[in-house]
Amino acid sequence: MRSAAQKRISCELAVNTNQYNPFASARAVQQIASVSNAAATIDIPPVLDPFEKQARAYLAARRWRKARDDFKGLVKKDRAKFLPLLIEANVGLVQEMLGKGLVSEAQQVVAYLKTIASPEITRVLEVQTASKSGNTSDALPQVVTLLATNAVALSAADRIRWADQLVLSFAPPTLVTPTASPAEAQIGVEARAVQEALAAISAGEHDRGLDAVRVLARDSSFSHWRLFIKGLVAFHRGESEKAERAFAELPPASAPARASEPYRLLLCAAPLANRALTEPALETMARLTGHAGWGRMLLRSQAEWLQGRHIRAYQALREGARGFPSYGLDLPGVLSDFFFKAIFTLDENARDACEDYFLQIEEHQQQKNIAEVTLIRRTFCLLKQWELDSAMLKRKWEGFLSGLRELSGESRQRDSLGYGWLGEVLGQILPPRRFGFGNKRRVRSANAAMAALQKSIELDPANAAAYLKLCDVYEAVDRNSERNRLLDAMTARFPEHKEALLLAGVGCLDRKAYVKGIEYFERALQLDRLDPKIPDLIVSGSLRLARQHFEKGRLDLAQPALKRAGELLIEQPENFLRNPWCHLARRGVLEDLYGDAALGAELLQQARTASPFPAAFLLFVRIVQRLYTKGGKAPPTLQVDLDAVAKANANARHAGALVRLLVFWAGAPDAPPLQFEEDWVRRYLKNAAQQPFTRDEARQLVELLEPRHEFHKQANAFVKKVLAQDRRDPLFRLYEYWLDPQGFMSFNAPGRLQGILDEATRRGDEEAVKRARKALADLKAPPFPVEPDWEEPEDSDEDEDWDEPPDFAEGPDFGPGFPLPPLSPKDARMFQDLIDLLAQLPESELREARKTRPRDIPAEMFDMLVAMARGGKLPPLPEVPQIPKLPMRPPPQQSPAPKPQAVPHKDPNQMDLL
Amino acid sequence: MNPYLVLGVALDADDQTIRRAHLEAVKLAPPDHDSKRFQAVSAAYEKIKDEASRHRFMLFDRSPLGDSPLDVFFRWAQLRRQFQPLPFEAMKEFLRACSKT
Repeated sequence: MRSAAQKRISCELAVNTNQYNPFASARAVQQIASVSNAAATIDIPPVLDPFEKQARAYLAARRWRKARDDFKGLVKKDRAKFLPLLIEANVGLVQEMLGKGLVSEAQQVVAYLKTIASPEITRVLEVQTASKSGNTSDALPQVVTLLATNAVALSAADRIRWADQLVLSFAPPTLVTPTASPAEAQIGVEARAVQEALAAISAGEHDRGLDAVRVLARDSSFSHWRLFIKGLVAFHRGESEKAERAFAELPPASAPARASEPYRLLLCAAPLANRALTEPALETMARLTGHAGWGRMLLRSQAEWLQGRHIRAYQALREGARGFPSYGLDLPGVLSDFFFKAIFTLDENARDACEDYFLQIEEHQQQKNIAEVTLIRRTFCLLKQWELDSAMLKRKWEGFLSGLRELSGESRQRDSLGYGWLGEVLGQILPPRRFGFGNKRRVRSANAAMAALQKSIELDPANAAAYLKLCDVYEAVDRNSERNRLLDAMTARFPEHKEALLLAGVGCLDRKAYVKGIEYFERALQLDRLDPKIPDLIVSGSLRLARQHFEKGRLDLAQPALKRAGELLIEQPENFLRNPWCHLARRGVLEDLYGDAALGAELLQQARTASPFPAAFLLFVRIVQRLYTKGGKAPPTLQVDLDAVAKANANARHAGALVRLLVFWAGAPDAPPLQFEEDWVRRYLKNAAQQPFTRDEARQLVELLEPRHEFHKQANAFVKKVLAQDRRDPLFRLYEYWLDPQGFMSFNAPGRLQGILDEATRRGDEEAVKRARKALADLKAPPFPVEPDWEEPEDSDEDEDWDEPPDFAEGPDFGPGFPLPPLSPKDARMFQDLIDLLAQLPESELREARKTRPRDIPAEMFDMLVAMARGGKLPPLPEVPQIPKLPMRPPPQQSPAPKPQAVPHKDPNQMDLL
Repeated sequence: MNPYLVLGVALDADDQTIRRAHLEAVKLAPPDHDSKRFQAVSAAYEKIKDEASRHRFMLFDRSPLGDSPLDVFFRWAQLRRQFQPLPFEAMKEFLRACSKT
């Protein structure tokens, strides 16, 4: 290894003789630097001259300016000895200045250096200085010479950078003079080849581009440009993998590597996430896709969107791009589509803000074009379908359909689907009225729904969904004859439509056309043999048909119907329609009443044997007896037997099955009133609660009874017994809370639930924890969901707006002497609903409503409300004790209006199965 | 994901064209080769395979093409894959901008 002193000698030789030494000159700058570094570590021979000693110390300490000044003086004494050191100090000074950004000062030093140092040294410094100054054109001749003669003096990064600069100067061919060396001429040729290739690709001449860069050797300073050109050609030819391979090989710091990013992004090779895109890159991509000028707009829109300023993001494009918004698959089209669909994914506040903005545009007719107003209407209707009043929804949706016709051409099928949707939304079945009164099905806007659905069918008679929905609406508004006609038309038009066949069949059963109904069901069964509800319906129809025949004495006709029902029996204890023992019991009762009594007795005996336990058999037979007997009477012996069973054999395990049996019959359409049976089940439950039972049996039973108000007392008996064993049992404490009619209203409800939650957490009872949390959350929610005011009055016309409801903001007018605090708008609306209902109910239903009113509404209050609704005289109010004022709690936050479930087509599981 | 862009068909394409495009796309991305792409292609076909589906998509679809305007731009460009060469002056300008960073 050469010592530092030897290196210095060779360097000095090179400088002094001014001869080209490829080894010395190639690394001149590095050698100078290494010498200066080495000087700090090697032993310096004793120097007599204190100035020289001082100068060398400065040099060793990299104090270039001081060293330069001292060596300037020393050079005058001994030029040969001190000139290399003066050059070294100046080179160091230039590097230091460039490092600090003092470019013009560095240029002055380089100018001085040119007078004392060889061109090999100064050329590199000149190029570096020019690079820092940004004025590369002046240095280009130097770059050419450098790359041609001394490229190895540069680092790889510098060489690439200067090669890039040379290409991107797009300098005229005169850059390389006729006097240039062959090596310099070759550099010029290569740079021009790259430029020609780029021009060829811009002109779409890919082969010419590839040919142009063939002159570049593998070790050329421009070889990375050949990769770039290859990548570009592959990109434009759609050869994604080839393009990606070429781009991936580019040196990372090179201009082509940076320039390849947009191409790679468009190839989907480089992920967009966390990538800071520059405007030029984005503009390039926009240009590549044929949308020059979109880069800046996209960047602005993106920035606004990411900041959560969605409207501004939209405006950035709306105001900047002529073709935006639009409808189609081009860039403006998909971006428009994005903005109007992204609304559905935004949070509520952001969505509201967007809605307001778009609505302003639409209402003030400030739309930019038909596409914008069409997209606004579509979005608005889909977003607000549950909140808009019927007339406005209809108007806007029809506007959307009309706009779509203009944008996309006429289509009756599309319009039919559109009107079908409108009919479905307007034909929503509303949730039951508050306060539990009334069980009549309510439709959001029946007339408008029917009109929309009829139009839908008219536009496309093959739109089966519109028929089905129209059937639902007809049923909800009791237009049964129209419904039946429609169902018949449907089955003729859609003989292979299962839902239509089932609905038509159920309609037939309703009007006692059992044979026709069963025929529809059989056809549906052919279409779908795996649907369990179809056999249920066939059995239901067959049993009704058999009963009809028995009642009319046509026993021979009854048998095939019973036989068909018998073919579809299944061993499912909970299926009281197709269970074998239930079927036997039905047949036995029918035979007993209308046919062969002996056979009937035999069948009943078989049923008793097959039944899971005697009480179930007795209860079932009693109800069937009452159903099939004219007058609805059952033999008194059955009652005696039932009472005996309830007294002697009541237990929790069987009680659940009995409740389910009762519930099954309670849902049957022509079942007799089941008051006796309900009382009997209550007695049974009471007795069962006094017998031993397990916690799990009690849990199952309470789960079954809890939703049924009429059995709460009996459920409570089980709960109390479990709590007597374990008074902190969290699940049963929750049951106790739910079964307590005042539970959620009491002031200590939150504390009570929190205690349950804590205990459940302590015990690790996950189910109780989950349910206690939900109960706590429910407690904080408003007591009644706010229902949008969309119900159509009975006499309203579809196109007419109805009167606004009376303003109860100041509280309803109870007359003098009845001071009440003002109602909130929500409560006022609820109150108004109740009053409207009571005013309209017929007397018979009113009596029924009084009987079945919720427990927490006293009869006096009910009468008072009825009197108020019907304009009668108010009954006297009882004395109300003075209640001390309590501190007000902040009002609970309003939850959004509930969205009613999409109207299900009548579920045949819940259809009349008896 | 816009099914028309996924399958590369026009908005007014008929059943046959869409079916052909679907088969082509499946050929290019069979399930054992590129299952993700295959699923996207199949889902796109389901959305527009017949006239009623296409109408339903036009009337009721709510799924945006991307998460942000730029995301939409990229997805659209990647799905469309029809690129124009950069004009020479624009290319020079862009390359120079790249050399400065």
